[in-house]
This record gives sequence, structure tokens and C-alpha cells, in this order.
Amino acid sequence: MRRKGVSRPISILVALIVGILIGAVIGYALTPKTPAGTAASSSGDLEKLRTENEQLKAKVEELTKKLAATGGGEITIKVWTIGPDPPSEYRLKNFQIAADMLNKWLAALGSKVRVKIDGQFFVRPVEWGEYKNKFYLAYKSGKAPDIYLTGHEDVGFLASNGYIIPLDDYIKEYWDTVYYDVIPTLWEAVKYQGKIWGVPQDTEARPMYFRKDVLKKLGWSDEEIAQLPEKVKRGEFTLEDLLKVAKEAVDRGLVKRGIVHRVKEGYDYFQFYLAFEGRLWDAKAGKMVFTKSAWRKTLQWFHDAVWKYKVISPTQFSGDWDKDFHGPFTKGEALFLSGGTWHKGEWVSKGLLTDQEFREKVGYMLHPAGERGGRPVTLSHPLIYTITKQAQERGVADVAFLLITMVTDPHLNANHAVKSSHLAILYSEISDSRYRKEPFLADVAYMLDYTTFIPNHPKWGDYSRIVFNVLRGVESGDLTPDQAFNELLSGIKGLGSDSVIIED
Amino acid sequence: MAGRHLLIVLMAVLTLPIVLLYAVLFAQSVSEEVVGVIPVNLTLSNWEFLRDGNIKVPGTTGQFYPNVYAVALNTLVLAITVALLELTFSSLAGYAISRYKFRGRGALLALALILHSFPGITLLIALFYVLNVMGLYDTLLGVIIIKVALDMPLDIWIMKGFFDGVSWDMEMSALVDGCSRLQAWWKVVMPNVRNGLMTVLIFGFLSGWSEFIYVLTFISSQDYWTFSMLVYALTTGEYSYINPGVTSAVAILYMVPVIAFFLFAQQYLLRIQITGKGIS
Repeated sequence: MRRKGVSRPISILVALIVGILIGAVIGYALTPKTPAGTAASSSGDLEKLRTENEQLKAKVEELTKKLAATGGGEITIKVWTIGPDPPSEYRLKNFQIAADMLNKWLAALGSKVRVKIDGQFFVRPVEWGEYKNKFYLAYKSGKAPDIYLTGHEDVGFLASNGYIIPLDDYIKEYWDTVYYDVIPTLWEAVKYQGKIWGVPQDTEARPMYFRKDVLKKLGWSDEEIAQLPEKVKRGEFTLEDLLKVAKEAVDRGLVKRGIVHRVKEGYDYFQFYLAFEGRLWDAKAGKMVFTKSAWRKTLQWFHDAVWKYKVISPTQFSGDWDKDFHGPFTKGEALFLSGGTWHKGEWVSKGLLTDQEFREKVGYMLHPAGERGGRPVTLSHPLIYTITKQAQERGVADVAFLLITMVTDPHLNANHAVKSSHLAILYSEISDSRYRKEPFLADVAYMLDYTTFIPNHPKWGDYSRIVFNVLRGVESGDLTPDQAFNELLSGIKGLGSDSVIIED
Repeated sequence: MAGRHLLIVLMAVLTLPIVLLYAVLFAQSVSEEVVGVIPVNLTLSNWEFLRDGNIKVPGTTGQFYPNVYAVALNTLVLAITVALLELTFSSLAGYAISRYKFRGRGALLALALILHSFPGITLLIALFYVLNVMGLYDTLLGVIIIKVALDMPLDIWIMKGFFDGVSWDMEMSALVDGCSRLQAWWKVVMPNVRNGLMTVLIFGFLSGWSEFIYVLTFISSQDYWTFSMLVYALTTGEYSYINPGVTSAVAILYMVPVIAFFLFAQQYLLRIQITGKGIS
């Protein structure tokens, strides 16, 4: 009964909006600003476009009348998003803005249908693991959100288990509205088995931050400090050098900790493996990759960092975000921090650093290469909006996608990018006035040339968890690098050769 | 006499840290800063959320935790319903087990104790399965049913103990005078186990009021948050975002009904007698 009641206004609503958007695009193409030489400059094409526009206008009027006749109703779209850092609030807030906008359009058209967002924005103490668990429980109970924000690496798992629906047809339909403007590499992050399963929400780079003031105290000149990111880019400053500089700073009592890295399970530490020329993904085979030599070097590096150079705390992986990560670095008690672009947003938002202090005291570079002359790295983890199968079953997938299209807007997405220090996903967003005023985002943009995405494989979570447990063992001293490697290899083998390629 | 004074001093020393904790909590809620236990710059701004019930998520410009009044209502519904259901079921079950002899009675009592000995957290997956089948995931009713089911063994034992303590002769007299079994239970036996009923009611209310793990696990919508979830969210995020004043104020708000309820009910708590006459 309910489905019948909702589906009719929904279909009319979607058709209406599609009509408006296509009409708007065509209308834009017809404006005097259209550069000479485009398709619209031909009088024949122009006439064709005018005819199509007239047809669309007639269609819109017809649909508006039909919509008015339905008597209205409320369409609720359930949206789940997560920070977990609070500054990423626009991941949800943009939907509320979009729904307000849509409702104004509907009111202007005389429709009584309204769209309501039933949204949740999860922040700490909810971390990614708990957020995903909640989604699976809700899905199994038939109470999943219609729009689910998640990491792109979950696409394989979610798609292969039927949790989410492919979006290729929608994206084709709305391509000219906004999707043509999405930075192309991001589409690779949302593909699985040849289909598109999500819309990019943001992306980021993971810099190695350093304290300029501490390097100065170590005797580095301003020029040497300024040149450090370039030296890293050229492979002249390696992970080994990082340890040496960190040790010197610790030995001279300038800092309490040489290097801090994330304190919970995550993906950041795969950068060290990539820096030692490890591979994560074989696109042709569609399998994850385990490069033995790179993992051996990575485990040895972490071991040396903790036990030989003593620049990483053996309890770093069981630490607290503020006490063992943000705090030491922002207070100048740690020299290097392996973090992400969004951390800059968090520091400013929390008042740990002002913008000026950040500019004066903090530098950022790629994660150095493992060996001299090698390629430095970073890692990107685009978040994506997906539409669940249950949204389709409820008959609201069309409206959900329309809302996703509306929030994939340069202005709205810049709200998020600037506040949370994430990178643009649209070319036009880069020229947004607020985005351009944030030099940090422009400075780190080059890092995307050195980035790698996490594999979109259903068993990626298992691969990642095995690595995390082993690395934690190495840092805590429970495992030697050899023991850790054997345990890691054994665990990865357990994932099966149909999932992972093991190479030397 | 000297021994008694020594005991008082010892008790005072042992109690002092707890008292200080509450003192700091209160001081924090009415000041901008606390030095030791002394509030500095007294203010009621930490309680401003009481006006409209809205508490902003720290670090955001427009995200709010669930409304405090809705949270309070959810908590109250959970606590009262759990208490009343436990009272009803345990008084009936305790009476039946105390008064009737039936096959498997001993085993039933033993099983109830075994069930009670399972840590609740080990049952999460099974409970999710049950709630899912019943369509009660993400509902307060689901949490209420779980709480009542898991608390029942202890409640039954408590009530059985109280019923065992009521003279059979008294009940027999009622039956001889023409009462049905149910009338005898209601009119003669129940008034004699009032302390037991109050005990179950108190335990049930406190159990529901303080419930956390099942709300955390089986509630995904913020519409059904209870105080325990709100306090958890306020206190266990990143330190830099925590507002100690507001957090303390909410914690006090969470405690007040419990303290009031305890003051009202403590006389009954002191009269608990669980042992009864055994299973004979």
C-alpha cells in the first residue's frame, strides 16, 4: 500500500527533475556565452536544440500538472555518513541543503511532494569498524540506509554480496549535469567488475608532516627545509633518512618522539610497503598482490624504527588519537607525523594549531621512497556515496541518486573540502573561490600524481587486518621481523590464490 | 568505642574518593574550570541545553546529538517497562516454582542460574538473530525484551525466595475460605512479599536505566538513544573535542533520577532475602 502511494509521486518527481536538469543543460548551451565553434554554433544543431528544449518545457509543464494531481506526500531518504572527524560534517549537511533546495523547486512548481532527509553523521567514538558493523546489522534487519557513505575499498564486498546497486545507468543519465566534471582517476576507485558502484564524495592525500621549527633547531637552514619535499620527490631522502633525522632530534632532546603514526587500524602503513616498491593490486587479474621483498623490508623498517632507532613508541598502535598522535605533533614534541590532509582541518578545528602556526611551523611531503632513487608515495582513500539494494526495493533509489547528484556540486563539495581539508573531486571545484583561498589544498594537490588506491576486493578487509595485527606485533616486540613475515605470509596465503597473487 | 571511631574514620577515608569524584563532577557542571575540587568562574552555561534539549556535536557547526528530552524519555520508557515486565513475570514464575511441584522444577531453577551466568556480550550474535527474526532490531522494544529475558533468572530466584517465606497455612486458609488459587496469590500471598516485589522493581528499573551494551549494539537510529549512549558519545570521543562542563551536566542529569529512586526505595533494598527454603 505504502509502496504504491510513494512510487507514483517518486517517478513523476524524478522525471520532472530530470527534465529540469536536461532543460537547464540545454538552456545553458543556448546562452550567448557558448564559445564559437561548439556544436551549438551550427544553425542546424541550434534549431535541433531549440526544438528539444521546447519539447522538454512542454514535458515539464505536463509533469508539473500530474504531480499537483497526486496530492503530495513526503519521501524520506535515509542517509548514513561518517567523519569520524567532526569537521567532515558536510558529508551529511550537504544532503540537508540539497533537500531544502529540492523542496523549494517542488514548491515553486506547485507540487506538494516533499523530500526529507533522515540522516546520521557518525563521529568518534564511533570509528569505521563500528560504523560498518552497524550498517551490516541494519541491512540484515531490512533497515539499511538508502544512501550509504563508505570507503571505496568496500565496493567489492558490498557489490558482490548484493548490498548496493550499480549506478552506471544513472551516471550516464546525469553525465552532462555534473559527472563529466569528476576527476577521471576517481572513477577507477568506484569500479568493480566493470561496473560503477558509487559516486566519489571526496579524496585526500596522506602527507608525511614535519615540524619546521624542530628541523631548524637541528641546524637545517630555511632553504634546506623548503627543499625537503623536493628531495623526497626526487628520491634523495629515503625512509632510512627519515629514521636518522628523527633519531637525531630525539637524541638531542628536541622532541620526545621521532615519528608518530595512526593509533588505530587503518591503511596508512601500506604506504611504507608501497615505498619499498610493493604492489597492492593487479588490475588485469583483478587480484590483490603480496610482494614478499617489500613486506620483508617494511617489517624490518618498523622494527628498526621502534627498537633500533627508538623513534616510534612500541605502544603507538594502542595509543590515543590526542595523546599519542595529534598532541605530540602539534605541541612540537614529535618531529614527523604520518597523517592525512584532513588532519590539518582537525588541528585547526580543535584549536591545536592556528592557520598561521600551521604555515609557520609545519611542512608536508610525500612519504619518502624506501630506497635512494625510488619513488615516493602517498595513498588515497576516496569516500563514496552508494545506494543500497533496499533503497531500490523501497522505490526511492531514483530520488536518492538525484540527491547524490545535487550534492556532487562544486560549491557544496567545496564546503566539505575546505572545512575538512580534503581534496576536490571536480575540476570546477578547484576554481571555487573558497577552495582557492586554502593554499594547503593547492600545495598538496601534486601528491595525487604519486597516489595509489586501496584495492576494491571483497577480501581487502581481511588482508588489511592481517597486516595490522602483524605490524602491531612487530612494534610491541612480540614478533621479530622474520616471525612477523612468516605469520603475514601464512595469513595472506589463507585468503586463497584466487584472491591474492604472491610474488617475490 | 575507640574501635567504632576507627571504623568511622576508615569508612570516611574509603568513601572520600567517591565523594570527591561527585564533587568534581558537580563543580565542573557549574563552572568554566575546576582547580582541584574548587569551581572557577561559576556559570550555568553548561546547563543551557536544558532550554531546548539540543547539544551540538563538538567540532561541527550544525550537527546535534539526539535531543536530551527525547533521550530522557527513551531511557525512562526502557527502565519503567523493564521494571514492570520483570515484576509481573517474576512474581508469577516465582510463585509457581515455590508452590507447585512439577517435573523438571529443579532443573528449571538450575538452568535459570546457568543462563544468568552467561556474560551478556557472548550472546550478542544470537540475540541479533532473534531480534532480526522478530523484526525488532533497532527498536526499544527489542532491547526491553532482551533485558527482561536476561534479568528474569535472578528475579525468579529472588521472588521464589520471598514466596518460600510466606506460610503455606495462610494460603491454605484463603483457599478453604473459598478463594481461587489466583485470588489467594493476589490477595494473600502478594501483600506478604511486598519487599520482594519492590526489590525486583528497583533492580529492574536500575538495570533498564543503566543499560548500555544492548542499546549500543541493537540500536542504530539516534531516535532511540538512551542516556548511556549520549554520555558515551560525549565522553569517549577525542579529548580535544570533549566539553567537560556539558558532559558533567548531562552525567548529573543521568544520575539524578537514579539517586531519587534509590532514596525512595532503599528501605526495601535492605530487606532482600534471596535464599528462601531451597528447592525442596
